[in-house]
Amino acid sequence: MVDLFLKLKENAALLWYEQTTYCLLCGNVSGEPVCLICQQAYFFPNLPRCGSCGKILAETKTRCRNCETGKGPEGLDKVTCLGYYKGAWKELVQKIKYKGQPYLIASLAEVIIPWVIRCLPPPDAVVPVPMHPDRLAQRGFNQAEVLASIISRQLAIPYQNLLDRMKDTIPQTTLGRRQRLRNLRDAFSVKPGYSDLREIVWLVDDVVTTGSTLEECAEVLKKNGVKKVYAFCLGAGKEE
Amino acid sequence: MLFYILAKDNEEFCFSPLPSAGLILGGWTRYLSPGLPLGKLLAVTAGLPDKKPTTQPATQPFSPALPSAPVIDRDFENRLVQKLTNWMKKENMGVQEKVRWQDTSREALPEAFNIEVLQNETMYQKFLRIADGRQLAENEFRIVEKKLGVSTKELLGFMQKAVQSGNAEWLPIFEQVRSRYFCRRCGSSHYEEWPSLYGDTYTCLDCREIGPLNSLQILFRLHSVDVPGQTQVDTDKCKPDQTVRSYSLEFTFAQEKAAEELWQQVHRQKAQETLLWAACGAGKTEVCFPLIDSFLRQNKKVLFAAPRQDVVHDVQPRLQKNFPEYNIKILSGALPQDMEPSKLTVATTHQVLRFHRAFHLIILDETDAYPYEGSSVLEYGIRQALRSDGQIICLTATPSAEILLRVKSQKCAIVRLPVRHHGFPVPVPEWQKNKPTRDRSLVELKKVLRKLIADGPILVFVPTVALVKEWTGVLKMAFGDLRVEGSWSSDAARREKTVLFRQGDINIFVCTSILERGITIKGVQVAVLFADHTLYDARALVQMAGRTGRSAECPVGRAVFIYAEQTQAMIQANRWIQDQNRLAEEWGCLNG
Repeated sequence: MVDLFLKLKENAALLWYEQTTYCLLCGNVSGEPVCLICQQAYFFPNLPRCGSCGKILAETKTRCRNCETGKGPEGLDKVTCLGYYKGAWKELVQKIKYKGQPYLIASLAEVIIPWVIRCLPPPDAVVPVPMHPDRLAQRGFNQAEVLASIISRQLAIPYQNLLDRMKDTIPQTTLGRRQRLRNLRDAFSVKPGYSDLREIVWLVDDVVTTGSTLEECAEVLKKNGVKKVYAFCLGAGKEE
Repeated sequence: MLFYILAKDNEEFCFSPLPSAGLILGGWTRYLSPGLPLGKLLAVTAGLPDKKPTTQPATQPFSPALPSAPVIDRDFENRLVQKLTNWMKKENMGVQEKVRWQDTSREALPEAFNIEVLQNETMYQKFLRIADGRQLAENEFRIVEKKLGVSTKELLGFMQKAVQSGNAEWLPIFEQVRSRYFCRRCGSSHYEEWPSLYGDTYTCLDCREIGPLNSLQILFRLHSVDVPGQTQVDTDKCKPDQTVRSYSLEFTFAQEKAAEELWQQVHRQKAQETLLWAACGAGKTEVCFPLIDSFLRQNKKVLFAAPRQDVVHDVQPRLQKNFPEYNIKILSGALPQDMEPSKLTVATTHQVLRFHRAFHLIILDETDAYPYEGSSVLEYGIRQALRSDGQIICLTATPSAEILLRVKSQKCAIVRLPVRHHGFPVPVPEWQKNKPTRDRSLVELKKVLRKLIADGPILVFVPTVALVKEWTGVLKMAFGDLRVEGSWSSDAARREKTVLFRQGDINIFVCTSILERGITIKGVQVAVLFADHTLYDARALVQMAGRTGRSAECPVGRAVFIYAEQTQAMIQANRWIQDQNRLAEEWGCLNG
């Protein structure tokens, strides 16, 4: 009853006053979830992304140095990231991931959706990168699933949680490229019951660092009949 | 964190985050997997049929605090499996694992679990000292682990041991009261709801400043206990005048009188809450020293809390200078969290949320200042950190209407300290009717400020950040020969500019309420532009006027309110200061 009254009061107030919204990154008053100053500082909307690993690049490039020399991930048709995984953007992603605030992803939908439509060709399904069941049990949610489900709902594209993570791997950031691939070998599989996979999918994760996880997932998807795998992440590195 | 239901052969049950706890603590031979968040386990076990008829009093079979439950039917275990399975299905949980009882075996002990560490009594006692009176959230466990040099599982083992012995409890973050949920750490019911693997989940929105908590997590509360073997000093036998300690500052007659009265209220009248209403710059912190000393000598824990970080950082060295034998800890958002146990702690009010029934005496400075004033969360935190027999002293120059009402209804005792330490009265603000604009009235304003600058640097208060920026520019133009700067709370250069102003390198400093409190600058004069602004209440005006004439070298000064329309707040502010000065005169301790 009290809740109902409070909600009524809140909604009645909206008839008279415009609700003030604040930038999720800097806290200043903003009409959008991320203010224009922060968008310029973290999203670099005018800079290209590395097609193989999603890293933010200098204006004239299409591949980062790593991927040009063949050290980057292979098997993905295109990768894009929303922002530079640093400073306030990194803090926000970590809040979502480690501090039990996955609902913040929903507030970001306004900036995520235009970006992902602009960068990737339309898919048949949105697929999240899976989390190992033990880690999922401890955290209670998989941020990639939350992100994928929000994209799916906003764009009315089918959501398919079709991958399983078989191995609880150690963090990729501590390993070299070869070790990373070994670390992830046989880590993913398609869930039983999914035989006829869609042709084009968007693979969704929170952060891309080396791209090995996306690469391994793409390989499993392609082995099972997916023709094109495009990937989207909230954060990635930036090549200076 | 996931919890498991542990069972003994004699059909006792308890909750533990370690399924293998039985191997350390003995007796617990089976556990129910999978693990679930404690809040969910409590919800599912709350409605269970109690127990078979027993002579024991009817108590709940499950309690996170008291694990030794009454005897329960053997087939209860099977019913519990059934109940949990049905409930998980009903709640649409994403947990795939089948619910079943598993035997606790030595193989279940993971490698990181060193049983010798858990049997080390010295280490366990060290853990108890660190966690004493605290409520530890999961994100704080690693700080304790580091401090003790143990693994997470070993720390959980110590915690479970404390819970088993009845000294501690595991608590889910949210408590349901009718249809609403309340955060146990901050008392707030302001939360965000989201679906997790375990169904509806809540994240507290008011705890965010010290690390947000959600309903899948737990709090570990270790009850504060008086360590045996420590001597207790009889309060009746240690009067303030018998204090052997010599303080860095010699008490004036008024301060001595206030300290004595405070002592009487706390030790003789046993007042639970006392208001020390002092004039701005009266030395109210120092007046509390004899009282702090008496509590410390009785081996009791004291907390000095203030809403602002700068006050906390300013007070700690003063306390340390006067209590050199104690290691006085600072807890503030600006410093890494310190788990070292301490008898005397200085903390910002947000940090107080980390304690539970820990302190015998809490001295709360600037009770009417933002963010404490009007924050039910911080007030809850202070009450929660206080022991059930604890006492609170509220220090302020401008008490709120609520606390004055509590004084009136005798729920709160009052001690007055109406005179400044140097004995001069608080300057009564002068009023200057002149709506500050950039045009002709600026000539008048320039005249006023020129007169003030002859006596010392000027603090110019304006009500909003936009006005700081505007008027810094205007005054820079008007006073080309002087250094004019402006600052506000989110100004990146705030600290540097404040230091420069303190050093006398800035002549006119335009600011918002950031320098309204807790700052003493020799010879400073005050001008409040837009004194009739709705943002300024009487208390804010008194505090701003109170910046002038604080130091013994320059005990007099001027405060000018520049306004267009006279307001009730301005009248009340002047009356407040005049009343204070009148009382000081009655006490016979005014110099000027």
